[in-house]
Amino acid sequence: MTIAVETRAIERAYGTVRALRGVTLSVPEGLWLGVKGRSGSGKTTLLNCIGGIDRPTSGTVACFGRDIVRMTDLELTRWRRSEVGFVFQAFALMPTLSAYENVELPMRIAGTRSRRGRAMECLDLVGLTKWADHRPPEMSGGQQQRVAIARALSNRPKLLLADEPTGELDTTTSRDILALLRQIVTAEGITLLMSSHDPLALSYCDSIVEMRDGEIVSGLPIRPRATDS
Amino acid sequence: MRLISLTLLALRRLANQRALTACLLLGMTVAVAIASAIPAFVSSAQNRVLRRELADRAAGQIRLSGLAANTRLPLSLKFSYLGFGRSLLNFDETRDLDAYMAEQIAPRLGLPVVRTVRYMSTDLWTVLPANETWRRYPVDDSQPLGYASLDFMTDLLDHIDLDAGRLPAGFPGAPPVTDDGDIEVMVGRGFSAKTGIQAGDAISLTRTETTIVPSDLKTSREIQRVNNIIARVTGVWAPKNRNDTYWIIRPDVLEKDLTLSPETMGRRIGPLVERQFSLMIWAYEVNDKLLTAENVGDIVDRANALNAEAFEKNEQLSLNQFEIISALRSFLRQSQELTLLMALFCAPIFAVVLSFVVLVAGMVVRQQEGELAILRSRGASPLDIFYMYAAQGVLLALIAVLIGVPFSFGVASLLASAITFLQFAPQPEWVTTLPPLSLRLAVAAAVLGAAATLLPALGAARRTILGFGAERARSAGRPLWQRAWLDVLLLIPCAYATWQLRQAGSLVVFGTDVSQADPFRDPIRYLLPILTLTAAGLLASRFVPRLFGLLAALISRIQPLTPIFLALRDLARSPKDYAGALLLLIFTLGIAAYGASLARTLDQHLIDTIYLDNGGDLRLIETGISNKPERPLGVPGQAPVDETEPEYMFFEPPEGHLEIAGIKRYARAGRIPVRARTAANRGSMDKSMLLAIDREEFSRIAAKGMRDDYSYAPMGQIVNHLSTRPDAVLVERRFFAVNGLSIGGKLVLASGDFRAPGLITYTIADLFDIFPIVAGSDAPFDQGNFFVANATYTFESLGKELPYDVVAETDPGASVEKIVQDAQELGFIVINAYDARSRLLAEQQRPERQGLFGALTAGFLFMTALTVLGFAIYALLSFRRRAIELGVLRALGLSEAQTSIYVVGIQGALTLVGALVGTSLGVALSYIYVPAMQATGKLITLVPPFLTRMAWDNVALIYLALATALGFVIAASLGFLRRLRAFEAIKLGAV
Repeated sequence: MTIAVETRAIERAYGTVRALRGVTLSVPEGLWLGVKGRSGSGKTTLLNCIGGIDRPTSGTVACFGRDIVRMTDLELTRWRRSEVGFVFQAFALMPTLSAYENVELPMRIAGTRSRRGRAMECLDLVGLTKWADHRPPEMSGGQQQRVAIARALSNRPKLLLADEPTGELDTTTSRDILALLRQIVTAEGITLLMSSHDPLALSYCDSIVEMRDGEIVSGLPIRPRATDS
Repeated sequence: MRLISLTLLALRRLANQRALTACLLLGMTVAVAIASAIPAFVSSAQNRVLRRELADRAAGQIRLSGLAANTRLPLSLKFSYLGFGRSLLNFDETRDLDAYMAEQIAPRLGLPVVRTVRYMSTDLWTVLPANETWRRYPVDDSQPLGYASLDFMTDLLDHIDLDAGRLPAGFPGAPPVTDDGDIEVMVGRGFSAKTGIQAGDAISLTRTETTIVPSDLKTSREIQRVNNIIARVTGVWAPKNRNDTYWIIRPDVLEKDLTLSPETMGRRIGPLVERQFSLMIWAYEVNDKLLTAENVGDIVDRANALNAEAFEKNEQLSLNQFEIISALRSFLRQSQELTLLMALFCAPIFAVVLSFVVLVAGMVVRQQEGELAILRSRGASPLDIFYMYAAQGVLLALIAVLIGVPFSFGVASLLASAITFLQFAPQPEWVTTLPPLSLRLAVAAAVLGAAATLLPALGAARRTILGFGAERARSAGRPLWQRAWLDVLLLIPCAYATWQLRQAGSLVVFGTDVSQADPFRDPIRYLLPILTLTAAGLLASRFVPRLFGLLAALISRIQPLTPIFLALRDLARSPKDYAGALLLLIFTLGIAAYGASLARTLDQHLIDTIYLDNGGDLRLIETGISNKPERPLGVPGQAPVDETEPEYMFFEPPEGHLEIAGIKRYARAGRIPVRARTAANRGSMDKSMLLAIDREEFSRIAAKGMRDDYSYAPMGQIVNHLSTRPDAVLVERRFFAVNGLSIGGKLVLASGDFRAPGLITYTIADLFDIFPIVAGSDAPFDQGNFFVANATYTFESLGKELPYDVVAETDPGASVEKIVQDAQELGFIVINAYDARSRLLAEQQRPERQGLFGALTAGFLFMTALTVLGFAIYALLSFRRRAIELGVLRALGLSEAQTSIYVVGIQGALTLVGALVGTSLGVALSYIYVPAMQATGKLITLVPPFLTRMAWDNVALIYLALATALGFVIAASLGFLRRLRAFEAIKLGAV
């Protein structure tokens, strides 16, 4: 079993506030790991450190065997382009770009030559082919989150980080999104780390860890799930 | 209670958003300062015009009256009654008039009267020696000593000294007036010296009074009565100070009359003759320190009304038009022209200030949209939001007025010191007063600023949080004015008016009849350039996003340019976000380029005009020594003059001019009146002028006065054609066409100078339209014709030299007085000297010109400052707004360098395109409208025509200022970007 993400005693402090207090975690490839905890427990900080958009104060983060903490900013940027996909709670789509252009954006940044096919493929995957030319503000929250997922998948990442992906969605839409994520993890073999405090969302995870005050308080696997209907 | 809590909330919001509040306050303060400074500046310029006009008139009066040159002439309104024949007054009528003037006129002059001088005099009496005086005059008793009026002037004793004798009866310290006995008078020193009359002499005064009496219905008859009185000269007086402004009648004139006391005039002279009082003057010296540009119009109106009223009272009674009112009227005319110019050139400044305030207010509200939506969703009504913004606006407006008004003194002072465009006097003239209009405009600007914050807030106040999201969805759409096609609708009348203007040829802005040129009667016509710029700017901004889109499409496949591509695509998709900043840039660059070019054109036109008229730096009007010098007629001992001998002029060799320090080179330029003989006119044409020049030197010296548009080819080339043959002549193109002449053909000119009549045959070498000296600004351009030929050939053909001007190129610091003095010492007879540099300086210092350039400078500086400020605020707020986008882009893999390029790309592309579009429009406006700004008038002459000059160096200054601002913004943005934590930005909320 290949380890996709491995953190060792990572700490993250913002001034006097210690957001992470020696988190050690090992996530096998192809696993959907849920990180649960209350607000301020350190879930998002953990995902940010794993995704390379924040750096731990101490400790190591290895993704697919590469220590990202030691990477320079440029190396980290390049690594993010090719290895990681992000799904944010507030979707974080570019409002002036269409759904298609949003999905194509990471590939354009990465310098991928044939982008159209992959972008349409991703949109097809999330069921939004017909909405390709619409801009985010013209879409519903669920649709926007689907576009965000399609965008996260467009550069074929090995690791998908989803920070409260259903946080702004209603239950029905949340189910649709979670089912979609399940399908992606299963079909594409992507490792998914998802933070949430929503029991519904967590019910879709293969494993769950619970965080409290910057520490993992319950280990994994709690409830491994290979598939989901 | 609710209002109080909303007010407190508004104040808390201002306190919490200190940076935004400071930006808004800064914008409103600048708007207030400018709005307040412009009228102060105009008023200062007008006051300078007023003082200069009064000083000019006073100087003229001082010259006429022979007063010392340094005499200060106070502001005096002078009414006079001038009677003759039947309109002579009797004494009771003079008292009536006096009372009328004192009660009806004096109190209503409009300014406090500091001194009243009243004068009255009778018609002339014949003065003869009386018997006892006769012994000293052994001459024919029928010969009078002279003719004199009997007069008196108030407060005379304070201004005279008695040379001899005593004061006449009725004056303080003199015996009382009696009903019989001699009438006592005193005479002036001048009269005494002329007639020999001394104190104590008796004189006989005789006057024949003719009365026409109707004898029946059809006829009338004259009754003549001879009045004879004996007067005793008690003293001889002389003025204490002839330069005293008390003398409303020159003392040397007054000295020729017989002066007596008012009581004597009333008791003895008045009853003696039925009608004899011919002149009465009432001079009211008013406090001219209270005369300002603001009240001069009222005072002139009042003086006109009083004049009309006085005329109603008596047709012989009138306000003396040649005095100060005339000067004030002249000021009013100039003032109208100045006001018109200011209105024309300040309008764009206000437009830009308004744009700036709206831009900043819009940005502020945009920053607060989300917050407003939340407030609305939490139960605040639109009225609550309105009230909150109104409270914020009022508070900011109040602070802006408090800061901006004092600040406007400095701004106005700086503007009042403008010598020419962007050049200030080393010692600035400080403006110390603000006219009432300044305060009104300051308040108006503050209210406008406050209103500008309210309008966008009203739109935002209507939306709840859901509406806010929907609005964001539509934010990529076009602005309202684009959807309503307001730009095109505005452009249509502008295009039509421009077409009309080009047909008419001129705006008549600087026309002689300025009263007709009222900008408020026909605002579109006068604001046409600005309206056109507005319409064209709006229209151009419609295409700017498409341009960005096109550029983005062009580079979309070039991988290294991805950040630029993203920036361009972002600009192409979000025009509403930057429409305000873009328009501000376009308007500023457009107006600045237009204004700077207008200023440059006016400046250069002045130089062109003066040099066209002068020919070179210096023009000496010289003459030679005639063999027939003028002699006084009938002086014995003179040799008889041979009338048959022709007149010759002897001249010093002109090369001697080079010996004069300060003259670098010289050329002769003889102006010879000629008549052209052509087949068409048979010599009947008149008023023509031949300019006989030393070609080679003249073309160098007069280079500044010869523009290439003065003919169909460069003037240097045209003048060089005189060298092709000695008898070459340059002919005015109009004359050439009318007379069907041909190049190489012969032209016969008949000299019109009586000293050298004769025919000269020339060969036509080339053509011109305008030529220095002969077709200068003062030349009767529409009358007569002008020719230019070689001086040597012309004088040889005439057989003699005629007086000629000498045009010279001089060293920049050379003294004209010294040059003239040196020339005279060398034997040159210099009649007059015209120095182009002095004329230029004098013109540049005319207040109305300074006012015009001050306005243009003000516009340029303020617009540049505001645009740079507005753009910087926009860019920083825009960057702040984009922080989340930047975070997302960083998360998606855009490197820090790429993100920086993206940020720089957005600001740089916007600035560059805005500046280029604005400059292009400014250039187009300059070429379309600047030539139309020329018309006859005091300030600007018709010849030569305006030649639009682009002030690229000044435009470059704006580019430099913008580049500096952009650099600052980019530096700030990059600094912010370095500190930007992508995860924090993303956490801030939705993009």
